[in-house]
This record gives sequence, C-alpha cells and structure tokens, in this order.
Amino acid sequence: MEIFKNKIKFNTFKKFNKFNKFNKLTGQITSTEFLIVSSVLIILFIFAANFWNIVAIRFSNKSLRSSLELTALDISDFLIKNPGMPTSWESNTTIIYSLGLASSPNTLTQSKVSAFTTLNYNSSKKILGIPNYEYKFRIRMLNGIVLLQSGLDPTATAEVVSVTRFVLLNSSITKMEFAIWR
Amino acid sequence: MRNDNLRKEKGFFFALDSLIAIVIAFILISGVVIFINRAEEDKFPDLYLEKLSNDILFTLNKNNTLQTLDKTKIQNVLSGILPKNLGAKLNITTFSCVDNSCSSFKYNSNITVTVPVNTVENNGVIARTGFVTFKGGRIDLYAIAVLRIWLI
Repeated sequence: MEIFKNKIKFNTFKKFNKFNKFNKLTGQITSTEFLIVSSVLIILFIFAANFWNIVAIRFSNKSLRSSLELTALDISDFLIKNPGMPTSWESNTTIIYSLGLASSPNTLTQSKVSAFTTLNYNSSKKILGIPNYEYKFRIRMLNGIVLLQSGLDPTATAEVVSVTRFVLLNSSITKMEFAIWR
Repeated sequence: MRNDNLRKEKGFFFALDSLIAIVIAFILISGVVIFINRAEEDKFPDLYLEKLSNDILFTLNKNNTLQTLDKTKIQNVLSGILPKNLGAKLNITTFSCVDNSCSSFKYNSNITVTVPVNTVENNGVIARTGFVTFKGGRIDLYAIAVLRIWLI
C-alpha cells in the first residue's frame, strides 16, 4: 500500500515536473517568437521609414516641378490672352496691377511687349506673382531669331520649365517663350 | 476526439485570422501603390499639347492661312510652325449654303494636311475652330478645322 502511495506521489511529481518543464519550454518558445516578431517588425519599420523618405523626396521634387509647370503655363496664358490692368499700362509703367501683352487672344501688341522687356526685373516678377522664382522671356521668329527678350538666363543647376506659345506679332506668327526657374 | 475537434477549430480560426490579415494588408498596400502612381502621373504634357494645338489653330485662323483653303500653303505654314518633336493632322471641312437665305448647308470639300508627310497618327490632343471664307464681299463657305497633334 505504502509502495503504491509512493508510486502515485512519484507519478504525480513526474507529471507535475513534466508539465512544469513543458511550461518553461513554452515560455522559451514564446520569447523566441517574440524576438523573431520584434526583429521582423523592426526591419519592417526601418524599411517603411526609408520607403517613406524616398517617397517624400520624390513627392517634394514632383510638387516643385508641377508648381513650376503650372505657373509657367498660367503666366504665358495670361500674357497672350489679356491686355493687362490698366489696359494701357505700357504708357505709364509706374502703376501696373497686372501684366498682359495682348490686344486680343494670341495677338500681341508691339508696344506692350517692348514695355514689358524694359520693365524693372524685380518689379515685373512681383507683378507676375513670382517673387520667389526667376524668369526668362523671349519673342522669337519662327526661324529662331530673337526679336525681344528680358529676364535672367537660368543657371546650370536650376530646375527650369520653359513653355513656347504661338502668337501673332505685327501679323506674323512668332514664338513667345516663357521660362521659369528656381 | 473532442480535443481534436477543438484543435481543428483553433487551426481554422488561425487560418481565417491570417487570411483576413493578408487581405487587409493587400488592400492597404494596393491603396498605397495606386495613390503613389496617381500622384506621380504627369498631366503637364497633355495640358501643354492642348494649349499648343489651340495656339497653332488660332494663329493659322487669325493670319488667314486657313481661309486660303490652299493645301500646299497650309502644309508649308504648318510645317514651319510645328516643333520637330510633334506630328500634326489638320482637317478642314467646308460647307456652302443651299440657298440665298442660307437656311441649311451642304457639304462642299475636305482638305487634309499631315505634317510631317506620311507620319503615323498617334494618340494626341484635338483643337477645333470654325471660320468663314468671303467672296465678293459676301460669305462664301463655312468651314470647320480640326487639328490633331501628337508627340512623335
């Protein structure tokens, strides 16, 4: 009887011990799993952060480029489709609210173009609404000869957007080039 | 047996969990990729081409090149204007009045000019304008000009 009781005790202890061992092992596996998951998470976070940085830089460059493109297109559009404000601003360049070079859409007035090219560069930038950018304005004949120009030439490292529009100047088809850069 | 079932059920739940997680992750990743691609789409070339085609058609109309209805002259002027990296096809359809009161029109002629000659038409942008031609101080023909330009 005593032997039988001892046997039961031993078996219970053995079972308990086995259970304990199993528990310990489970704990260890969980901690290893935790370690692996943490490592994977850290790697993922590092990857996501780098990826986000790359995306953010690309978006920033793209945003600057888009802004330059739309500004160049808007300004060229405004210049060739509007007479400006006041409409005869070329006769008194001290008061100009907005610049325009056209007598009618796509038809430029020689006197307005000449007055625009002789305007103070910084004042014209402010009136055009691009105080933080630089610009270059050119009127070319179709064979490439430059008739009139104003503004600054872009530097080699600058981000430049140039748009060419076809207009009539003195009844001849000419090219109006407007380049904006920063 | 019961234990086995429980295990199976647990396994099933885990598989469902992972499936849902994968689907959600896939949707999120697809969303991010689509968003980035859309944001990177450059709409400037199309917008610029549209402005350019309207400018060309407008100037051709204003300096009375279109009104000549002379295919050779229009071809020469258009090839002189058009940048080298662009192709263009100009189609002019003219209509004349049926009677003196001009209550309706009838088809008169069609002119098609392609620059450069024999270039293959690609996806491009279209500009349209209408104009009239005069003869003896009176309106002779009514015309519609359609200019299609594309990147070569």
